[in-house]
Formats: sequence, C-alpha cells, structure tokens
Amino acid sequence: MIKCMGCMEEYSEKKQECPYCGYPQEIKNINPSYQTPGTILSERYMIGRAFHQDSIGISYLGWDNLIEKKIVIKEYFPENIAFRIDGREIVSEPKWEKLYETGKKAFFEETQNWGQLGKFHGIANVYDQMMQYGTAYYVREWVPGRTIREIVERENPVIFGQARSWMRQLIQILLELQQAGRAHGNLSIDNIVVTDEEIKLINFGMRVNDSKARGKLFEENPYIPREIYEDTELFWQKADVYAAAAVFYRMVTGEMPHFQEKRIRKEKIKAPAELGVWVHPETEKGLMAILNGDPKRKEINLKKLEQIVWTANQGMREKNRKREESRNYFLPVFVGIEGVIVVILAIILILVW
Amino acid sequence: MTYAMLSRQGKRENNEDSVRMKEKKEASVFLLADGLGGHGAGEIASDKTTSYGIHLFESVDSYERYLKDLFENGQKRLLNMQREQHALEQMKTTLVTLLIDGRDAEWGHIGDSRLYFFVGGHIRQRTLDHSVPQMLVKSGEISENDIRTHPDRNRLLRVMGSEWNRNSYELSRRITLTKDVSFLLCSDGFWEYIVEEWMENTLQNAKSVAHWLNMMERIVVENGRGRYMDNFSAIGVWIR
Repeated sequence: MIKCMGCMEEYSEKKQECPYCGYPQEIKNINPSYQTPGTILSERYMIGRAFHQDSIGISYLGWDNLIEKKIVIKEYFPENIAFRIDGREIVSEPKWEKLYETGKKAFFEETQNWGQLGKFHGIANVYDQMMQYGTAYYVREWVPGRTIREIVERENPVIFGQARSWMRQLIQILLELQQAGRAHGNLSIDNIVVTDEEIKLINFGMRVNDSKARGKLFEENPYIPREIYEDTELFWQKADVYAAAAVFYRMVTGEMPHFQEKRIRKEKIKAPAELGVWVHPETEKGLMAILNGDPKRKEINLKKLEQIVWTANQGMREKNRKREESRNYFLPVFVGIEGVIVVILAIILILVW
Repeated sequence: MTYAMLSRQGKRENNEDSVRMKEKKEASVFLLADGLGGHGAGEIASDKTTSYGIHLFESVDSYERYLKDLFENGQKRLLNMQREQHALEQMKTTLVTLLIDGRDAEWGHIGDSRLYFFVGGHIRQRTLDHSVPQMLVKSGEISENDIRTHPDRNRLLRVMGSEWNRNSYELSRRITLTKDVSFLLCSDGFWEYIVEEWMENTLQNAKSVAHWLNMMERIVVENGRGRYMDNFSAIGVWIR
C-alpha cells in the first residue's frame, strides 16, 4: 500500500492513480516553486500536494507520522524575492536577502504567537513550527470543509440568509480574538473555512512593522482598503472589520468591492440594490457606509458591523412579533363582529319564517 | 469579468446537474454538466466530469489543448469508472464548458446543455444540441421553437460515458473578446422554460450578472409551475 500525496489515503501500488482523489502515483511536471511531495520535516511531518499559494507562502496537505493524522503545512515562500533550488531549498535573491530574513522572522514569531493561543474554536490550531530547507514552516490543524471561495465557485452569489449566518459566526470569532488581544489580519474568501458545524479561520497575517518592507514582501489583500496599510497600528485595529464587510459584500452580490480601483476613479462601490440584489435595506445602508466611507474612521468596529448584519434579522423578528400580536389582538374582535352578524341574521330568518 | 451561477433540484429527488468554475490570474474556466443514468449514477458522472475539468485546469499553464484534453481524457476516465464499478455502467453526462484565456474565449459541448454567446445584449451564437429534435430541425422537419415541446427532446445522440466512434464533442473557434460580451451556459431544465427572447430582454434590463440570472430563474420557475420540473442549472458570465 502507498500513501496518496493528494489526499493522504492509502491505496494499492498496482494502481496508477489514487482511487479516492485521482492524484497520480508518479508525479510529473510538478510546479518548480513547490516543495517535492514526500519531503519530511523535523523527522515527523510529510509534505504532500500543494493546494494554495498566497504572497506569504504555500500551503500543503501533510501527514503527521507520529500521531498518524492529516495536517496542513504552511511554508514561508515570498515568491517575488525568493526561489527554490533542487526542488527543496529556498534561497532569496541576493539583493533581497535582508528583506527575506525579516519576513522569515516575522513568519516564525507570528506563528509562535498563534501557537501560544492554545485551543481556540474559531481558528485552525497551530501545532508546531520549524526552520528547515532555508525557510520557515508551521504545522496546523487540517480543517475538513470548504472555503468561501470553493463555495462561490459552485454557487454565486450566496443567499443573503446563509451569508448572514456565516457572518455572525465570523464576527463572533473576530470579537473573541480581539478580547485575546489578537487580530487575523489576512481575511479573505480563501481564509474562511465552512465546516459542517462552524466557521474556522486559516492563514493569518504577518506583523511586519515597516510598511515598505511589508509592501515588498506581501501583496495587499484585495479585501482590505489600501489606506489602512500605511499605518501598522490602524491596520491591526481595522483590517478585520473591513475585510469581513468586504467578504460579506462579495458573498451577497457575487462581486468584489474593488476598493482600490473605485477610489482611484473616485467612484462609489455599488450598493447591492444597484446590482439588482436584495439585501435587507438597513443592512445594506450600514454595509455601504462602511465600504464607501473613510477607512480611518474611529467608529467602525466589529460591534458596529455585527449590529449592521443583525439589524435585519432583529427588524424582521420584531415585525413578525408585532404581526403575531396584532393578529392575536384582532382575532377576538373579528370573532365578536362575525358572531353578532350571525346572531342578527338568525333572528331575521326566524322572524321571516 | 463577473459571473453568477446556480443549480437547483427542481422537483426531482436529487440534483444530477453539476456547475463549477475556477479562476486564475490569467484564465478562467466554467463547467456545467447534466448527469444521466438514474440511481445516483448521473450525479456521480456530472460531478466527476466537472471536478476533473477543474483538476486539469489547475494542473496546466497553457490552455491551447485544454478543451480537447478535457473531453477526451474526461471520456476515458468515465469509461474506466464504468468498467471498475459495474453498478454505475449507465453513468453518462452532458458537458458544456467555457474557457476564458486572457482576452480570448473558447467553448465546447456535448449533449444538450447549451452555451449562448451574446454581444451587446443580443444572441450572436448558440451551441447546437446533440439530440433527436435538433436533428429534425437540421433536416427541416420541425422549427427551433418546437424543440422545447418535442416528445423526443430527452433523446440524446451524443454524451460523455457512451462509446464514441470518433470525437463526438464540438469545439468553437477561439474568439477575441470585446466589451459587452455575455455568456449563458445552461442545462435543458433551464432553457426549456425560457425562450431566447426573454434571455435577451432580461440581459438588457439586468443591473448585474447575478440580477440577470435571478430574473431568468424567476421566469423558469414560473413557467415550470405545476410541472414535474427537472433539475435546472445556469452560469452567466459578463465581460464589461
């Protein structure tokens, strides 16, 4: 039996591809940027198929040989300033060496902080970290489920009620993180996983205080307005609020808010109603005030966003409650009037008879 | 480019349609398949075919051979699966796919799932079904509009999962995209309940691609009211 590098299931060596996921036994034409499947880290973790790449690095499906379970391994690999040699080692471009090391240090330290957070229901737990092959790695919990991107690749836009329910869970997680003195810093449709029961966040952002260095190392997240990238403190206060609002907009309208392009052209981001998409009017008003407003405003925070997303629900519940009450109040009256009419008609019929 | 996609069960016990898309920096692919076969076989056929399309798209850097490989390798995989799992030997599927490669577009299809190509709000082209009524249109026996009500409209002449003597799929030529181009990919459960005139009308009045699909869905549901509605799926793509 051999282990599939695509899904970590075992299958007969006689088969040329995995019967569970179709991943080939002999891997040809692997992307030269990716780590060779089968590579072992810390004499324990096996690297499998690369499934996601962002400006911070590459995520691989992996296998923990000690406790025998699926894991995810994230590798620091800023592609703009580094490259891989011999399918394993990562080296930086000589002129970017200092910058590469700064990013690697930030990656390692940030991972350490997340590891110290311990078990946290809304975040994929970080189990281990290491420096190897000229770069840094962390090992995290494998979360079964679909990212929001995978969902909108099958259904776009997402129904308002469904999107709102996920948003509520997302905001709760972000509020709990805030209470623990942390922020995600890299929210997007790629980094939110919907499992059977809950939402989990993956791929947190890296703290690089020098904004120029950060700009060179990591591409800007399109769900976060450029203005708040300029100020590190402001970024960590506001990035999650804006990104959550933008993800919500993306889900319900099916379109990107395109902060940057709109601001350059001095255009406003279109409200869902302008795109022919129904969103509760109160929610729409609040959402567009966040997305089109000045990103540096103090009053924008997670609590405010939660209120905006749930106003609609509360409003609808209140409306239903009032409707129910009025129905209860008027019912005896109607029964009374109808009763009187029936009695009068009966008397008239008897008299005529 | 913006897109919207939906897939609904209609009044059937399960949804044998499958829709998927994948976007890379330089290219995007959209796939829609309508499974045939019953007992869940159709659902597996359509799902495996679209997921293979995504897997293939992710693993290539050049897309010149993509559609050809998709239909030919997808067919081989489906036939292999049928042989390995005898219970599923009836699993077959239609497939319609759109590839956007930079400023070019190309599409392919087999079966009666359609692609409509619109320029400036008007239909420029549509794929021709591999079905009995479409043959009758070709021979002049019935008109285009009769396809929707023809008793043999579900009899398909070519699908994936049936043995082919030659390449049964059809590929378009590569076109260069201009502004104000739209595409609609849809299963028969969708196009049977909405005529081309309404596809155009709704397109001309839509505020976004999601709005367009939503307006068409309402028409489909309204026209299908009181009938044993099939699964219906659609993908809308706008280049603006």
